[in-house]
Formats: sequence, C-alpha cells, structure tokens
Amino acid sequence: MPPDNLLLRAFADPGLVAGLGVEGWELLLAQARTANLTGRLSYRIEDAGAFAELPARVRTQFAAARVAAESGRRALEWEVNRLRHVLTGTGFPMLLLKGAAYAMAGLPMARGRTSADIDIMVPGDRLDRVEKHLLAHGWELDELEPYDVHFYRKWSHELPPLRHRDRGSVLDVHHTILPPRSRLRPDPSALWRSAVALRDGSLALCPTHMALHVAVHLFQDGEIAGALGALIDFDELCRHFGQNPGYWLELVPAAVALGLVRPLYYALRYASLMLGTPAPEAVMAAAARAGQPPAPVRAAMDPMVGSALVPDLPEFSSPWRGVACLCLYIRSHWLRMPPVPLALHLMRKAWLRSFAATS
Amino acid sequence: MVPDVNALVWRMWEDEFLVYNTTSGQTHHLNLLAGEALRSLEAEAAHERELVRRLADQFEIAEDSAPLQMIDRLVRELDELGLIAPSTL
Amino acid sequence: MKIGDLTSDQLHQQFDGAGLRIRIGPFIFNLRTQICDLIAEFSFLYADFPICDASEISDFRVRVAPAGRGRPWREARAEFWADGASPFDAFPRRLATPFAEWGFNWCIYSHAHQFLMFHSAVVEKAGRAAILAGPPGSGKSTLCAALLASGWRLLSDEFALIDPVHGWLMPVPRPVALKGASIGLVERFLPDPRIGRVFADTRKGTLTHLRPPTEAVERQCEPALPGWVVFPTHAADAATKLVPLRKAVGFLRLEENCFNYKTLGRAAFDALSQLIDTAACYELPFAQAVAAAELVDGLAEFRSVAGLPLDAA
Repeated sequence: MPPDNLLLRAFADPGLVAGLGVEGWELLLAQARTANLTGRLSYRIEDAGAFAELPARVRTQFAAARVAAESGRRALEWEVNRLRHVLTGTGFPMLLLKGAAYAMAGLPMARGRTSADIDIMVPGDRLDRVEKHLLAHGWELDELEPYDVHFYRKWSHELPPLRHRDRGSVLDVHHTILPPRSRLRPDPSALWRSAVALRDGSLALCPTHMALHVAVHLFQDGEIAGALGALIDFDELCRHFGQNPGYWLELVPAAVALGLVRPLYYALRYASLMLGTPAPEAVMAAAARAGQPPAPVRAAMDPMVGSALVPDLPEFSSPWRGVACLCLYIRSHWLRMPPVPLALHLMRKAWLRSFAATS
Repeated sequence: MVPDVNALVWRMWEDEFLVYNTTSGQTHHLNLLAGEALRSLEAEAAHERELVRRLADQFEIAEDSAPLQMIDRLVRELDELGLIAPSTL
Repeated sequence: MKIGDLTSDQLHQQFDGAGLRIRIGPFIFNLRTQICDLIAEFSFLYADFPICDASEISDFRVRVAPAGRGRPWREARAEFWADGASPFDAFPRRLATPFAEWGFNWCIYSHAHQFLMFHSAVVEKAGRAAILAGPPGSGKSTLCAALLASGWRLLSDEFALIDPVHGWLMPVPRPVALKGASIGLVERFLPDPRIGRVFADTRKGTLTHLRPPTEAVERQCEPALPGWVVFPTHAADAATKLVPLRKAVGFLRLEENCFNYKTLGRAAFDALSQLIDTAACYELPFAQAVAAAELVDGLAEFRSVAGLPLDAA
C-alpha cells in the first residue's frame, strides 16, 4: 500500500513518537509542516497521553503551530459572527460546512486546524438573493477569468468565491454538496431536514451527513492528492460521533438515501487501513455490499490513493506519485463533468499552466 | 451594548485608548470621546440619546455641542466594527 | 566547536551529508547544500557560530540545492527548500548567499510564533536594548552598523524577537545586510569591518553582508530588556534629530512593523503594551548615520547619568 510515511503512522498510532530519535523527529516535523498538520498532530499526541515526554524543542514547535492555528480559529469564529450579523433577519437560513461547523460546534477535531475559507450552504432557490445581499454588505466577487466564473456557475455547486472588502476573508456559498451535473445527485432537502442547531444559532449538518460530506469531498469532488487532512477529518468525526452507537447504525443507510455509498466505502476503507479508524465490522461489510466498486477498480485505486494521499516531501518524491496524482485529478473531474466539457476544461487548464511557465 | 463575548481589553496613554476585542482579534485606536463612549456602553447598554446625556455629564459640555452631534455616526462605526451590537432589551 | 574550527573538507562532508546543525540565537538550523560558493561564504560569515550536537532536534530543515536551468543558455540556478516548502522561484546560483539569508528570515517569520516578531534591528548597551524599527529602506541596517561602531552589542539586524511572557528581546545576531551606498559608509566607520562577498544586481540592488562581531555571537544566549523604540527614516536632506512620539502612536507604528501581531492575539496586545509602558518611543529622521548613532548613544548615557536603575521596569 502506501510508501512508509512517518506522519501517517504517527496519526494512526501517536504513541510511536516516544521511540523517535533525532532523525525521526526531524522527518516527522518536516512532513507535518509540509502537510500543514503540525497543530493537529500535536493534539493527537496529547490526546494519546504522550505530550509530557516530548523533547523541549518539539514542544516549542508544537506550541508555535498551535498559536497559528488558534489565530485561524479566532478569525473563523469572528467571520461566522459577522456573517450572522449580516444574514440575521433576512430569512436566509445559514448552514455551516466543514471547518466552520467543526469550530462552532466545539468539536475536539477543530483544535489545531488551519481552516482558511468559510463554507456555508443556503437553499438553492435563494442563492441569487443571498449573493446580492452579501455583495451589498461588503463582500466582492474574487477576480476570476470569465471562463472560471462560467465554470463555477454552470458546473459547480457553489458561487465563485466571495472576498470581504475590509477583512479579506474568503467565503464559499454552496447550495448542495455535489455539483448538479455530476453523476451522483444527493437531494439537499434531506440535509436540511436533519440539520442541527449550534450554540450561536447557526445550523450544521448532522453527524452522519458531516462524515458523508467529507467522504464526498475526498472521493468525489475534490482532489485526493495531498488531502491527508480530509481523511483525518473523516477519521476524527467517526471517532468522536462513533461513541454513540446510533451514528454507526445510521451511517450506511444515510449514504444509501443520498446515493453516496461509493465515496463512503472508499472513506471507510482508507481511513481504517491508513489511520486505524475503529469502524465496526458490520458497518464495513454493509458499506462494501452497498458501495464496493468492481475488483479491477479497487485494485487500481488502492496504490494510487496510497501514493497520492500523503503529502510530498521533495526528498521522497517518486515519479510514480506524479502519475498517481494526475490520474486522480482526472478522475475527480470525470466525476464532476460530462466527458466533452471535461476534455475542454482540462485542455484549457493545461494551456494556461504552460503559458504561465514560459512567461 | 457591548456583547459579553467581546471581552474588551483596555490600555490608555495620554488621553488615547487602545482597545483589544478578544472575539475579533482586532485592536482599535480611539480618542478620548470615542473611548469613553465605548466604556460607557460596556458598563451599561444605552440608547443614543442616553449615551449623549452621559457623555455631556462626564465632559461637562452641552448635549448639542459639536463633538456630541457626531455620536450617531460613532455608534454606527462601532457597530460596523463589531464592538457593539443592538441590545435585545 | 564553532564553524570556523572545521576544515573545508569537514564542512563539505557535513553540508553534503546529514546536514550541518548550527545554533543561531534561539534556533537550530539543519542546513544542507552542495553549492561550494555558498559553503565558502557561509563558513566565513558564520565562523563564530556554534555547531550543535547530533542529539539536538533542529527547528528548521533547510536545503539549498542546484536546480535545472530550464533553458540551455541560462545560467546555473538553485532553489531554497525548508521543510518541503520553497518560498522563492529558482534563482541564479551565484546569488545563493543572499537567497539563503532571505530564506532563513522566511523560516523564522513563518513559524516562530513562540515570539512576537518585528521587522527591526536591535542593539544593546549597558543592559538595555534599542529597537530600530522600520520598513526596508528606512536606513536601520546602516544605523545599526554605526551603533556597533559605537560599542553597542548586536542582537539582530532583521528581527526583534520578544518573549511575550517575560518581555525579553532574544538575540539572533546574524550577518548585517548592507545595500548600495551604505556598504562604503560602513567600511569607513567600522574599525575592522569583516565584509563578505559583494553581490551586484540582486532584486535589492548591490548587496553584501557584514559578519557579526564575535562578542555578539558569543553572547547570543543573553536576552535584553527593551529601553527605547526608535523609528529611523533616512533622507539625504533630513535634519538629524530625535522626536519623542506619543505612546499610542508608538504602539501603532510598532504594530505596523510586526510580522505576527494578529497571530498572537491577546498575547501580542499585552506584550506590546508592556513594551510601550517601559520603552520611550522616538522618530529619528537622519542624513548621516554617525550623527544619528550619537543621538541614540545619548539616550543610553542619559539613562545612566540620570541615575535611573538600569534594570528597573
């Protein structure tokens, strides 16, 4: 499966750091920094009870990373505060997604995260009015090429990114969690029906839907390469909410109801293989029954994901990793767009990249 | 009113205030009048009229004097910055 | 053991192998490179710095490596890597030293959030430090060099690092970067300037580095308490004078020069407030660095003449 990667092993088994020498620590710290996971790693180690024995220099680097992460968290919570300030009383319900939801729900996994953008979901039929309202209250459309704007509005499930004029923060407004023209079409009304209210009055997805959203983002929507942080999100959601047996009982049925069994299968498979996520056997079996792809596809995915998921340190980069990342990039767009527009989109991106490289 | 969650931290040097808003992470530089206005609202919420009256008392100036005529603009700016919010009382 | 104690062969072996671990102020850098010119220049500029034991974990893992030419007619290039990140595009290999210096700066201000960090030079005399804060081009490096000539200890040319808990300034006495006309000036007023190679046409014009005084490196573990904050601004026609600043203004000006004020949040507000409480703030427009240094000298003298206890807050 994946090449030996100390960062991955440390997340799967934080206690192993007790046996690290200088070289091991230097490798681990370098990998964590590359992946932007230093803060999260520090909390993982602390939760495993191994923090006190850490060498002083490691504790210092961890403390500095935590300071940076707390700053990001403060900015994120303030941004949610200002969004509510602007949207309260308009009748537009606001559902927080991903990092903003984890932070406002006070989940342990929110510690150490360096979330940048805020993601929210609003009802599809209100999207235009929400956009107008935000533009009138200090947000602006990020400068994008007209082609990219067109891509966002036609193929994507979100507005083009909005940036706040004064604060500089970036806001992504979604109306569903998958692009409307992709092969999977989960019905957003189910997401709203099960939504939970947070302490500040915002809404968030219920636990199973939160986990499914990460699975979808990883294996359907986003780019897998370097997305170790997202797999850790899935793992931590399962560990936290999985303390309640109801979570495991509902997970596969919820995936079936939304047509998301394939991404759930992959998420459970790779999280348990790579991070040791304690998913009950019965749940793994049900996910396999419902969502397992044909054996050849599995055989192709396993080494690609293993190779691409963990972040790249130039010292350890292999040509195979480059190929794996490319295949997975094409795959994610294949899943989002019909074949002809996909070819055009990829050609255009390649042309732009080569143009930038020669200028 | 100043929301409890803001937890403002104050410093003053030579009639100028620097105030840190724990929630927003922002630092604000306020002159004497603006600072005292915010302190007043932090101590107890008030309508604009009441705030003008308190400041007039404190600085011993007329309620319709030039600095106090700008209070509504100050209140709007403090609201924009997230330092104060309309009270629900 | 210091860098200057190693033979050329030993240096190459370490740089090219597991890396040379060098202690610079509170940081340990693990540095790897095969570029011979860089090794030679680095070992001159950093000769006094201690080499760390292999048992010490570094704060930054740095590599300066040859890069592809891109086009056959292009000159040889190199890249700077730190923990898997490369902050600059590939640069001409002959400019490896200035890019390495900029790279070390990048490492520090990107990650060292255990400190509150300002873009400023810091010098110390008789137990109190003067923070010379300002944007690039304000003349702080030249003023810093002039103060070294006047007996001040170098804490840093580039960063003021403040321990937010105790308010101490931590030394990072790296080479002083000198640009353009200031190179000639510094050569004139320093008695024994140890100046490295001069690099023409960098992105900041002509550039060189002044090797830090040996004493500054030997005392790099001794912090200092802040005494004064000075904002120098160099202009050819300026009247050289010290202009006291209101404390609130001093606070805001320093905040502008701060790399990580927002990151540290409340701790930054408290630490900067404490600094402003104890240190007097001045603007210092100047035309001649030596005259400006005399004024700053005067501040230190006034403090001791007036009988103010040097280590009271």
